[in-house]
Amino acid sequence: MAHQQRKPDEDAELVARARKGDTTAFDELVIKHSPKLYGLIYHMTSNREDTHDLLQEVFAKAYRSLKRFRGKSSFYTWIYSIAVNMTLNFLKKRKRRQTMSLDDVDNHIANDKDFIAMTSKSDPVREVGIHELQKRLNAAMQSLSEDHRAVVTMFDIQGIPHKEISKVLGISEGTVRSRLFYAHRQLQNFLEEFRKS
Amino acid sequence: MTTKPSEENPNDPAASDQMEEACELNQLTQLLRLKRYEQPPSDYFENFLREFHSRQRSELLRRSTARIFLDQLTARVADFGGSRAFVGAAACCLAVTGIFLFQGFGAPSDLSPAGVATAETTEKAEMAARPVLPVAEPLPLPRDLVDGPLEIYPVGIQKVGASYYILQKPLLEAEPAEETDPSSYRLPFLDLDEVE
Repeated sequence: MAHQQRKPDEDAELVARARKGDTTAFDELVIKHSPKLYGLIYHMTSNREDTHDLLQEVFAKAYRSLKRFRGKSSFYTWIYSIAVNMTLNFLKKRKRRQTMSLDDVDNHIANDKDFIAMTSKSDPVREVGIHELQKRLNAAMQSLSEDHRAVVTMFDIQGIPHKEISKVLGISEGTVRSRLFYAHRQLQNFLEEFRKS
Repeated sequence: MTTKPSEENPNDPAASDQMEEACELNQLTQLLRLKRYEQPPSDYFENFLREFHSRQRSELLRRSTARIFLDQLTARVADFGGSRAFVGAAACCLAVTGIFLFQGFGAPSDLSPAGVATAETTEKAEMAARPVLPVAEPLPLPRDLVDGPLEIYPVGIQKVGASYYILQKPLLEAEPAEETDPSSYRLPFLDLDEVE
């Protein structure tokens, strides 16, 4: 039987330097991980201001807790766990906001191959307009529970594999798959209603 | 030989449902993938780091010395392999020890009749902020009881209106004389049923 070896943490050196008090090393970690963490928090909160504040708090907490980071998981998994937990706590405290701030689809989408493929097809999606559909999708995302939204955000939007998600959330891979299944079904129903209307 | 409907019979309604479902799921995942492009402006992360630095500085200024000491202590314990539970348990032990020490220095050693004065002093000290603290005067008792079998103990504090009273309770060591009316022994706030 092949012995499974854990991949060495590519952030290990930066983390070691940061633990010794090298603030530039921590800055590098911030620069490296903030875009992905931003996406995670943003798609879970659907609010830019909340995302900004939460992201600041996530890095502040990570900086304070860096001495306690034992390296049992990768730094990436560790800081992701901090971000997910803080965001889930935040969402539980905050009443779900009805106003969507995700109404501006980024211009980069126009160059995406999926976008081109989708808009060139003759299907109902094209008729309603991708912009409107994105807005609708945001609403559908908000209709999910926080736990389901977290899984959809990490898997479907950010492309994180099941195994990594299970480590971040501290749940089994089976639970990740099951949450994804129900979340997809709920999203499909939501969008289906939209198409019919 | 059985055939798999999904593979060999495309006209099978179950198979077409499955295909439709898969197609819808594919569409959904494509749509969700588009959301990864919803990113802030390019200079956002540069400004983000700058703001992070200023927040760190202000947080350092805000944090009290005690908090910094506690954080450093926690980090050092963690360096030696201690878990959070260990840190918590140690803090609890320290707190409990502190309480015991405080009580040991502050409380009277006993409440025997000889210690009544000490108890009174302590009670008074504890209630220094309160406006009035008279000791409830017992009603006159027969002299033979006061001098003999009756001893008086402080048992608590009772508020009457705006005033506080130290309650005293007689401990009867002998039965009262038969001719004495028991109600004549009643003290303010004293429940005679409790006296044995």
